Amino acid sequence: MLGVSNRDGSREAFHGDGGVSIIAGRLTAEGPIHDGSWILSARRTYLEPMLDAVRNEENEIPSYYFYDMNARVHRALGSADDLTISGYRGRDAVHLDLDVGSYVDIRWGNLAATARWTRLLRPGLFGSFQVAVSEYRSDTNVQVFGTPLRFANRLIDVTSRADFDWRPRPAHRVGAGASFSTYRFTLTQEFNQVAQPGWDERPHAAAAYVEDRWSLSPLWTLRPGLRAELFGSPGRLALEPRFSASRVVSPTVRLTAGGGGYTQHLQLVTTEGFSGADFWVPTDRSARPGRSWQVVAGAEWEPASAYTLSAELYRTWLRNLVQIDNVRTGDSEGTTTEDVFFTGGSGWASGVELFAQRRRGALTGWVGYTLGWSRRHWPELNDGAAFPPKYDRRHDVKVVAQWDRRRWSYGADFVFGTGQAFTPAAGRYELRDPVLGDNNDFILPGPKNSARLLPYHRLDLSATLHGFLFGARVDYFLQVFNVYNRKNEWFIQYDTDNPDTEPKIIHQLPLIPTVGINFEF
Amino acid sequence: MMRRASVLMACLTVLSAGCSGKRNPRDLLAPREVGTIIVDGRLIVGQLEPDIFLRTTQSPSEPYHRDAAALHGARALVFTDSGDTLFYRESFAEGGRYFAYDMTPGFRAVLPNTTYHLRVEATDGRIVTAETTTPARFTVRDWLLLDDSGQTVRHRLATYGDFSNDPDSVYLVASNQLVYQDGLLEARFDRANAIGYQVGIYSLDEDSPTVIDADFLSEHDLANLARNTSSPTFDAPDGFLRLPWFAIFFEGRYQINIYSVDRNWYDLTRSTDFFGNNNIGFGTNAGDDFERPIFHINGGIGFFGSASYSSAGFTVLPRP
Repeated sequence: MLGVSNRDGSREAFHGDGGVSIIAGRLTAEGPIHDGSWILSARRTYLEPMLDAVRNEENEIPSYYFYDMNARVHRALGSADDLTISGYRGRDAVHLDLDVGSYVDIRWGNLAATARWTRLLRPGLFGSFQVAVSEYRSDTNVQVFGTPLRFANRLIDVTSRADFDWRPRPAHRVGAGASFSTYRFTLTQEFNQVAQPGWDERPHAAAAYVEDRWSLSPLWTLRPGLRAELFGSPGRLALEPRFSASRVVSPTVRLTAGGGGYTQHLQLVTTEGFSGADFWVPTDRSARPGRSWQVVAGAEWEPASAYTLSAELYRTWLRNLVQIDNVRTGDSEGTTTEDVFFTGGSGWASGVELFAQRRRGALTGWVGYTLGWSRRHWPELNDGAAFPPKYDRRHDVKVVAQWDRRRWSYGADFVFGTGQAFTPAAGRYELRDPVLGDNNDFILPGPKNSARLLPYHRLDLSATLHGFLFGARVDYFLQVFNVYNRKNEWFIQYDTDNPDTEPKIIHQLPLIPTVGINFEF
Repeated sequence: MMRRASVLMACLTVLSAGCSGKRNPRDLLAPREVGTIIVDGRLIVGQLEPDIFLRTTQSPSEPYHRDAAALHGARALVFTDSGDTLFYRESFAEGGRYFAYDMTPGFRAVLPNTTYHLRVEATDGRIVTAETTTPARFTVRDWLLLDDSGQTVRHRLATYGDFSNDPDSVYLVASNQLVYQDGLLEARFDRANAIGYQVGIYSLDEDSPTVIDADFLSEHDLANLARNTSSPTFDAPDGFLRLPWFAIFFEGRYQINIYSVDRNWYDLTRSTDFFGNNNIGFGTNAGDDFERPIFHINGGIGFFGSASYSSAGFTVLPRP
């Protein structure tokens, strides 16, 4: 489930680099080995003391840390063979105290190891053989007024694959390959330390593909392809045709178009506000796998060697979507996809992406803008009316700039996005508990995802001074995250115990300045 | 350099003041569904005519007031396909509470396997209707105390029916004296075609002391422990339910009711969190389960459902 790639280490000499700031640290070391190289790197944030300092009743900021580690060894085995072994481990952890006896603690991360052997089989034919193991794990521990709940998900993916790159003729570059994957999905749920129904499934998947990058003429390039996947036991076969074409209109303008079909056998069960507790489950034969068709068309223009401008239109059709059924009873024995999910959903997404980049000069950077729409539909949800998913974002802007001036570099990142969709409260009402007869206050949801959080925007600035210390290159930097201390909203809560019906807004990270030093050795 | 720094500081100050992103939390409320009629009526097989509550939804941005929510002056009736009818009028003492003041001669206690229709006519002409088909009579075949592993039956509990002259004797017999967290109480029954079940647990001794190990609870927590609790909805596919000890907080006499519920009851209680914190979102934008409950009410929202139930009584003793 996780693809990790990093560069090879230095074949020349042992050296390294690192950085230390008041919120994070990193260290990389690399060097040669016999006919090869190695590299080892690690990062960790240590925001916790700063977050503790700015947390208060009005600003309930969660505690958070992240770390990851990478390792890679590469060695040439003769003139035609290469062996690479790499590993990765990363973890995120969030803790939020909500009330006395109530908290959320979420930890999630990935672990991956890959061994890859590449070989020049004969002139024009290149092969790559890989065995990869990865694990995604999320563990959510929640305590609500003293009652503990646990929700843990684990996905292990063991994949073996072979890929070939063949140039039979100058105009053709053929790619083909096959893979076999074994998955293990486990889902553990506990309420008050009592185990609830979960999953433990071990499906397999076999896939093969072939594609041809065909240079029809100096102006035209076609790229037809077909992928086939057999998933589960007994297997379900999915065919996924793909096609793209590009046409050089002038030395500076290129037009592209493409499309393809995609099948989704694994379903991500996601919470609306936060991805840490997301988990994956395989669909079984009780429901059809998710299917999408996508078409794109675009143009790319390089008016000068330092500049690139591009525009792309896209449209995606989705069907056989699933969404977790939240109203199943706790002791329901059904564990098929049809039992656990609302199935048969559909949706679409479309939009336009614009991009401009300046690659050279004292001032470099890029601007990206996406105008998009997306909708989902299930007969069982929202009275059967289509609604925007949480990913629906009308405007999405990102600006990245760097200005180099003598020994200084200045950087700026700005992001702006339409606020995330959420379901507003549309009314209050009272009903008796049918069993106890006592009155309970409730909040009546409005149409699903019919309101928006405030737009998300944030500016990060940095200044870096390049210098030397004891003969080694050193960068001193000042970075300010969220320069204007925008109180971006993360999620909201409604509390019927509150007579004033005041919703609680949980905010994201405030302004965080940091200074640090990057060094080489 | 100083001039640049000053300009930078001024810009940051302006940005900080102008882009705080702070807003009134009430802006997050959308009073789009105010005044919708709410029905609240429960039929229990074997019991007489129930009161019905008729109210209206209130704005989410205002404190809730029961009096303001009451639906006044409505006409309401409950009737069967055979024409037996209950006529309701509003209580003078409690606005929004409607009681049966008249009935056709054939109307008796609520019958099993019978469809009851509700019709409400508000003074402004709005009409709300609902119907429920009552479940069959429900009887727990055996109330058993199992060992801690749930594998072995220790003994059968006596039932109210074993003491027809003095049902309260059930709390005194040795078989029904249960030591807290010693063994598991299990109800076994014939599931037949029932839709679902819900459990109610009632502490009958109002001043009895707590039986839980309360070291981790504050005095505030202890003072707010519920003496009566209801469970989530269960399917009980294998025809048994076990009492969770975490629903018991106090010593003394308890009554436990298991309700075999109709479709309306089942759907409402599995889509509404009576059990926990009502509709409080958790870690999400108002909660992933912040979905509209399944009401089965035409022209309004609320509950018009039915159930039959079976009871047991026992006494909880503290651990030695």
